[in-house]
Amino acid sequence: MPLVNRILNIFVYKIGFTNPIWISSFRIYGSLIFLFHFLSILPDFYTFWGQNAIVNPDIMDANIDNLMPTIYDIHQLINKYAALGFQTVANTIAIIYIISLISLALGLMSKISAAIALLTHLVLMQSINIFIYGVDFMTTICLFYLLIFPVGKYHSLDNYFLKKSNPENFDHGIFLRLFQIHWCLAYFFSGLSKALGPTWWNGEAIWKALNSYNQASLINPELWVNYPFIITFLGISTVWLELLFPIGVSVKNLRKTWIVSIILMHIAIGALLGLYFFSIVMILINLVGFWFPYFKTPTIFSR
Amino acid sequence: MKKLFLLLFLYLHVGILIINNSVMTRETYLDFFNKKSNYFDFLCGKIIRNSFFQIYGKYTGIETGYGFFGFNVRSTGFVINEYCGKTSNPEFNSLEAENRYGSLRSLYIDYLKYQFPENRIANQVDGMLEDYLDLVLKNVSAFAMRGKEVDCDSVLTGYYILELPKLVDLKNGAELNYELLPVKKFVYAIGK
Repeated sequence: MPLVNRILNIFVYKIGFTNPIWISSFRIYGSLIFLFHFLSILPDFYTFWGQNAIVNPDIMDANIDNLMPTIYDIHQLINKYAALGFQTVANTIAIIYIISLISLALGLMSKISAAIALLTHLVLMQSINIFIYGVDFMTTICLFYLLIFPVGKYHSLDNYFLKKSNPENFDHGIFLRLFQIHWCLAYFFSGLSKALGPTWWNGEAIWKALNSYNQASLINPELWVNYPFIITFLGISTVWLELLFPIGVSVKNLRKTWIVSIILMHIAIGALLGLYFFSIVMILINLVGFWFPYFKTPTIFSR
Repeated sequence: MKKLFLLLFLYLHVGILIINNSVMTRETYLDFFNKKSNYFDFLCGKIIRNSFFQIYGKYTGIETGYGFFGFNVRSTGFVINEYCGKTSNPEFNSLEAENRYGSLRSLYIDYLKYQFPENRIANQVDGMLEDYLDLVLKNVSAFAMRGKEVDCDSVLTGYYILELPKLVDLKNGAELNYELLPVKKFVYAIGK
């Protein structure tokens, strides 16, 4: 298949040496972040996934497409055959999600764990569809990639027990390229939609975002009133950083500077808008996709 | 063979990603600037709302557009319950729950444009959406009242938008005053 090999030459082999630490870091840190994200809402678990939740489960169920079942649907289905309480079903799905993430972090039956984590995550989020936000979509995307990438091949219990390590570059090279293309497109479209709106160029968008009421925000937005030029600068910088992201990370000399800038932007989003988990997930994506693969020498963790 | 399948998947996945985001960006652009869509836009909209695209997008997560805060940043909405002359809002035990509740608050912003008659006619389902959101609001009010002593016979629930001065006005010396603009109010009776 010469055509396939030619395409692979362009898209994969030209990457050169890539350190497999990116793929194991993605699995381990990704799973742990998703786990802590879910654990962080456990004090309010019944408020969102309870029988008497803030919005009744049947009302939340009425709002959605039928592409993915909710806990309410699963409960209805089970009740055709056995009497089981709604809360039991919700708790069970949550426990399965937690166990699958721990198992994925350890690299134990990685593919199966990733598939279960993805499905349970989707069911949990679909069940509270009016309360989901950016980080939930990012989690879905990452869990999907953890399912299709060969994440169990490196630094995992699967590899330890089955000795299936395959150091051939192709195995993770093509997946790395897919991951990189995805996030280049994501940042590009994010930057494009900001660039098309007038408010990102004059700072009004950032000003409005800073004032979006959030108890978790670390800095009082009123403090910015005396520094409007900083707000305008932040708005314009965000547009350019995102719009030119595909170029920034493709040019070898610019890559590190660009990734550091993007990470700083995400730290600012976390601190100013209170979206901590969203920021942490985005920082992880940047590190595993554009920084870790280019480590020259294997670290102690990559053995 | 494995390589071929991988490549086909890669092209399909990236292709869907590009189509999805291009169409969504275009649709938001037309909506934001009140521009008319053409037949090509209609066709593209049909494609990304095709069941294959939707199912694939749902399970892979690529259904989401990346225009977070794109074009413009939404205004901040608030749900405020008044009961016996005091405000009574849902209480949470974690910051994550606050963030999730914030998503609900901003959900209402999307339907505000349908308050205008011309938009309402353009989309027949908006009446149902409005009823649905009212029902959600009622649930939130009931939740906020849970565990509290019943002294009055009704709760006044209001949906407000945070109005703040523009940055350009602040540069020109305007005072920083926050105002809550009432959008909708309901009175819910409570059975004692």
